[in-house]
Amino acid sequence: MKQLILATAVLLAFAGRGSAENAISDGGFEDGTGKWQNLWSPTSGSLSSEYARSGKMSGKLEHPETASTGWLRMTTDLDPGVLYRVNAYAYRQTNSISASMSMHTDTPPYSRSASSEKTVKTGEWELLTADIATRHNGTIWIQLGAEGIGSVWFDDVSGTVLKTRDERKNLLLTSVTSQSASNEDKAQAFLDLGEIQYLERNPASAANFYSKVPDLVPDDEARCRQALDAWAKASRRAKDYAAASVALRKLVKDYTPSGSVEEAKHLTKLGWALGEEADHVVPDYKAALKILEKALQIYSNAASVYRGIDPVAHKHAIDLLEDRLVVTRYDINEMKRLGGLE
Amino acid sequence: MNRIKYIRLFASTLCIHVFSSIYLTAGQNPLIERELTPLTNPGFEDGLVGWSGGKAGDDGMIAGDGRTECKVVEMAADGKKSLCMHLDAWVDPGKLHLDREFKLGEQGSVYVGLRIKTQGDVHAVMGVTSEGRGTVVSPGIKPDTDWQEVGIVLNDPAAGGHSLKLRAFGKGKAYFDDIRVYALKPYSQYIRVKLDEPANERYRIYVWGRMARPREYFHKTYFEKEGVAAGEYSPWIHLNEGGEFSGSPVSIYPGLISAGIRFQKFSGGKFEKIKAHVQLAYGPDEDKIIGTISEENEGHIVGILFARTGAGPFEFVKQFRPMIDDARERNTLMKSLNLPPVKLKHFMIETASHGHGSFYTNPRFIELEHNTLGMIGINALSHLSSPYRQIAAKEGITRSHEAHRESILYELPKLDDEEFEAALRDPMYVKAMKVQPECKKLMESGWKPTRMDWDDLKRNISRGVGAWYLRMQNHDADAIPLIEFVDIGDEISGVVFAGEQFNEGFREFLKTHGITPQDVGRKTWEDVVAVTWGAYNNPLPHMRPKDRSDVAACRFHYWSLKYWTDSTAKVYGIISRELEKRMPWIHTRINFGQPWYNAATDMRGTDCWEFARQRTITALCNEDWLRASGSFSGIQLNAYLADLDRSCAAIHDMVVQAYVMPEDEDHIQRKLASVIGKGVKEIDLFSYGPYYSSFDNWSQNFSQAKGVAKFTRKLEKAEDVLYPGQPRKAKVAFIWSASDELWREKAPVQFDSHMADSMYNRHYVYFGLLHKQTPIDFIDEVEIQKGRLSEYEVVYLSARNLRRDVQKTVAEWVKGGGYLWTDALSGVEDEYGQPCELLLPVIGIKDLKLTESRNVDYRPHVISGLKAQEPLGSITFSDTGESLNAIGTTVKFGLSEPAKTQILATFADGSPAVIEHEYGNGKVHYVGTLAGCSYGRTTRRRHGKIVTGYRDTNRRLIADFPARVGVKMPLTCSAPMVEADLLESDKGIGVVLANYVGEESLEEVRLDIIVPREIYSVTSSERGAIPFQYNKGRKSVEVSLPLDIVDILVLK
Repeated sequence: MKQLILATAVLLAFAGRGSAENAISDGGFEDGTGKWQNLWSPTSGSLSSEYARSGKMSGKLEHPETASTGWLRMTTDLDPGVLYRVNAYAYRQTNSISASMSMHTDTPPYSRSASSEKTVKTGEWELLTADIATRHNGTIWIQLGAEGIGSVWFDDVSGTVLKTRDERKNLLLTSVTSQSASNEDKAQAFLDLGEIQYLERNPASAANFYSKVPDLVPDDEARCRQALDAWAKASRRAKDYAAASVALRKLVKDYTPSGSVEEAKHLTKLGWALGEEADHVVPDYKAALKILEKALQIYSNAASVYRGIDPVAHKHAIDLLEDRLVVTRYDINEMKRLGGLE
Repeated sequence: MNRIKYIRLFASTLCIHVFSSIYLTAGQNPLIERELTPLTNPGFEDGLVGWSGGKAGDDGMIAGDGRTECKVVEMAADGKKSLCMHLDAWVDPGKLHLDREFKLGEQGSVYVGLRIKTQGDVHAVMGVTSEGRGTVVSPGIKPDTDWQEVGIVLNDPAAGGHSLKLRAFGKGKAYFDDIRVYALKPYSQYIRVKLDEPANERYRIYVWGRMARPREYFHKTYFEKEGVAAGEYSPWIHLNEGGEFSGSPVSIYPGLISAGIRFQKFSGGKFEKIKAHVQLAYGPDEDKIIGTISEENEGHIVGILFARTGAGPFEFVKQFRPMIDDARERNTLMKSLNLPPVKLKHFMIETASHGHGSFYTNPRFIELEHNTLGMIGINALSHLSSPYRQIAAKEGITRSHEAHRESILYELPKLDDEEFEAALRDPMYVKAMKVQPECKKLMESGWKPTRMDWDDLKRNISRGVGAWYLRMQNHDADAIPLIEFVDIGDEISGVVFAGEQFNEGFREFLKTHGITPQDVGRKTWEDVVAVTWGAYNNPLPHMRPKDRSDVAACRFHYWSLKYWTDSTAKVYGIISRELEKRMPWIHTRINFGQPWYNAATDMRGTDCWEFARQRTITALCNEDWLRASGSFSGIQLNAYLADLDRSCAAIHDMVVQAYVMPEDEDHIQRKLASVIGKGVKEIDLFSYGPYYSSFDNWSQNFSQAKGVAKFTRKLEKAEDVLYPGQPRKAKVAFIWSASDELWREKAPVQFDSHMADSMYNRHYVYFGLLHKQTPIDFIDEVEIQKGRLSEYEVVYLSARNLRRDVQKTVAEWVKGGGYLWTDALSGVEDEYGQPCELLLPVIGIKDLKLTESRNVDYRPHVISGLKAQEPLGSITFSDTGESLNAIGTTVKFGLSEPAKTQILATFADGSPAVIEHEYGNGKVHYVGTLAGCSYGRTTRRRHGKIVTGYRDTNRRLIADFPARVGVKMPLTCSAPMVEADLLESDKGIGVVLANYVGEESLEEVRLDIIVPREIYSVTSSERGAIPFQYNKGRKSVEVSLPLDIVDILVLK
């Protein structure tokens, strides 16, 4: 019986990262600075034994004159969809230089970011803290920055789970149904829920969550763009090709400045989505043909937008759109042939 | 210093090559320190004193082969006498040598050289074997070569003994004379450069050269930081600093190094025109300069050639020369043939030529190379774009193809970490990693399999093809209309899929074929997980169930491989469709690779039949990689490949191509005739090179160039009839069993194990028919199930494994009046490797008693293979009393219906060996041994020669049957082994003849050709109009003519 309990304990220990467990290995610079990259002024950083909050070593940033530099490292093995609290400690001798910590995920265009406050103390170790939820690949970038003249030492960078994915999900679900929550909070909750659902390979549910956002915060352009783009992506993954086209069409119509590069890019995306939608309505060749004709118009519009901005600077994008036009015309003829619509 | 100047003037190039003439003689060669005399009688002036390796004869020595006479004769390169080896009958390589022991003492590098002359079809070479160091061999001397210096370099030779070996093979005379040994100074390859024009420029140089595999190319920038001022020589560059250009030219490819010395503006940008000098020295010193190449050209590269250090002092000096010499020499050689101009209008004869931008930029190179190719008869070049295109057009080369690999290499969506980890948990993955360490290594390397998301696949491939097309458009839009086809894969293996979508697809695939989870040994559909084939090709044979009684496991194996092909074909199909969208006029092809390596089969996830059925590609192609010096069942296998491709192409009326690999003058003509005769219209002759710019090329193979040039002229004369011509519909089909490919190897070692009896048996059965001028289609199991057996009168089956439902169809077909030929253990197992007795009553046999050879190796080209198979008894024909050996397998059997069975031949104990059994309205011809292996076992293989020694008696086992059941062939030929193919259209009839009887010409070949209408002329491409007789009653034409190598007859 004792053996069974022990085995169960071991299994539980490996089943998931405990909330108190440090998820960031070697945050104390004891193994050197190999995991960290010294940014902007590559000579400002060094391994130091002058000060250490724990162990013997710390990472130092030294500015002989006013500068802004940093240590950056990528942490790839965190659990996706989890909210982490990341702590680091900074030490400075004078207030001529300040230290801070910032983080971001690496999945553009909608990467998350989070930052700590800047240091306020001198002559003692000071905690820098911020919370960040990982995206689907479990990667975050941590940057320890220094700004000003003088030296800063960093030590004991650690990450602990603040909310597991399930805990986050439950909280978010509560939030979206809460009477007291603001539309802004609900919209963010739907975005986060969509992300978790997508992560859990439930794209239809993700698409559903994302689709709620524009109605809640129609004037929050950044959130709506993020939601519509993610809605299109999730719909496609869920094989709801028509919904993908709807999302992108709304993105172009309501949230994209007319005549901008962004518009041309979104139109291009919409063209691709329509092509895929047409592909999947076959054998209804008539419907497919109609969708492809729309795609043809959309690609043509996108090319016009680029041409209107700067045909030389955007030559490659225009060439690619010309290619899409060639392909779509071929597909239209093929649909006509297969559907006997010639 | 006494120097000779070689000055060459071209329209746009001035090239001056200066080197010391004294370096050509031993006494003053700067690399030679002194002459050594470890050997007495080095010029054979005192007879054969000191030589061993044979027995003393009446007048010299009889070599170790017990036959070849070696004696000193009054003919010499130096002095009065030399050694002559007289090979009066064919001697195989490695059988003949004379030896001479000598000692050198402690030395630095030493050169051992001599001169060799050959007369007749004989090759000669020298080698030195040193104690504990193995043998170093000199370059070989080819047949009919005048006195030529060859030698080897021994670096720090051992103080012990050495043995000089003089070797020859072939038939003719080899002469050896003037053996010399020199101590050498230390030397290596140093160069320096000077730019005269443009003056007042600063530059750096970039060297791009050939080196050796696996890195292949050497490239390095010199003077990158400081540059060099025009008008003065640069500092010395030690080109061979890393040892890249050391070693023997015989053992390291390439032996002769080519390099482009590119002059780059220090400020950036290109020089449009340069006048420059390149000096080679054997040390970094002005006194050690060997020569200077001075060039003025419209470009910015000076191309040079130089020798490896192991080439010896003479070649080291001699081979430093302008690279354009190589192009010019080949051009001059072609011109020396004085062949009439040729311009094929329809057949595509293609090769590849490279080098612009890396080895040269001087347009004179392209002009020379394309002129040479035009003379050969090439009318298409792969990747034909500016600036090649415009110059090629002047030579009538206006057709092209492109390759598209980007989609497969870069565009396939990959699994994410979580999906990959889940896939790795599958027991089949676990097993694969267990049986194959390389597989485990790959899985842990960060590599990821492809996710079978068809939306992503289509989207990514469309994007990849679009980007590829745009690159071409931006580079040279006018070149695009010249592209006739796009090559989308070379010797491919299936796409490596994994993940849930792949599994789901497998379940759907199984459902489509009526397979349940229980059929494949799983409880539910969730338990059915597809095998990720391809990531670990090597363990594939180890993944095959060893326990055949586990039927479910065998079924799973079969269907998982079928699914692999199906999935892979779909991916390549997407690529083809995307290409067609941009270039609707093109066709697409995959060079599958030869089935004897398991390529083009389910064993690589690339069954060419399924690819054709899915219209994955729109042209069928395979490269033969067959040489007369010993490839598999012989070079005629390229006819087998062409027939296979033609049969697959027929499914959707697709284009038939052939990738015909280089050979010598006669054999390349035979191979070309074979494929043209089978209906091939587009021929890829692999990469011409040139040698200086690429690995794997045939530019220096003048024999091949000559053969192609001769053939294209013959082809041109018949082109108006041959090009539209198609083979007359074959009445004989050979069953291509995909099931047999899965189970054929009895003791597979690796994924491309190729020792099996059934495979080589099929090759030789095919040959038996081909040698009797029988047109053959292949037909696979799926096509049979589509009802296509009805297209044929006779069907050949030689495959142990055949789908059970197909066996039923075959039985029904025979019952309905079909004629089936089969042998040994054909059809005794089904597609799952399970015993199957369905065909036994059809064949008319029962109570089988089997004897099988213990040797599982049937490879015809290795000593331990087919030749080593001991006969398992004899078979005697009842009508003529002729006998032959049973090979590999004998099946003794009882007759199930004696009254309906005719015994044609018997084993030595009098039991039936060959029978014909009437079944329903049809008939089955059965041979109780491996008929093909029995046919192939008697053959003779000689280095560089076609396979001969096929016995008419053995062929009877295979080829008599169609005539016995009254099948009429389009033509009959008096000489078996002459390949004679008929192509016809409303323009007339073409007959392509290739002499596979032997190397000698045939005095007379008589042909009886069935024609649909009266014929008024017969023209031979070799002999012009020839007399003929038209037989009105039989509607046939009889002609008689001599045949050298190949000929093409046109009947109008």
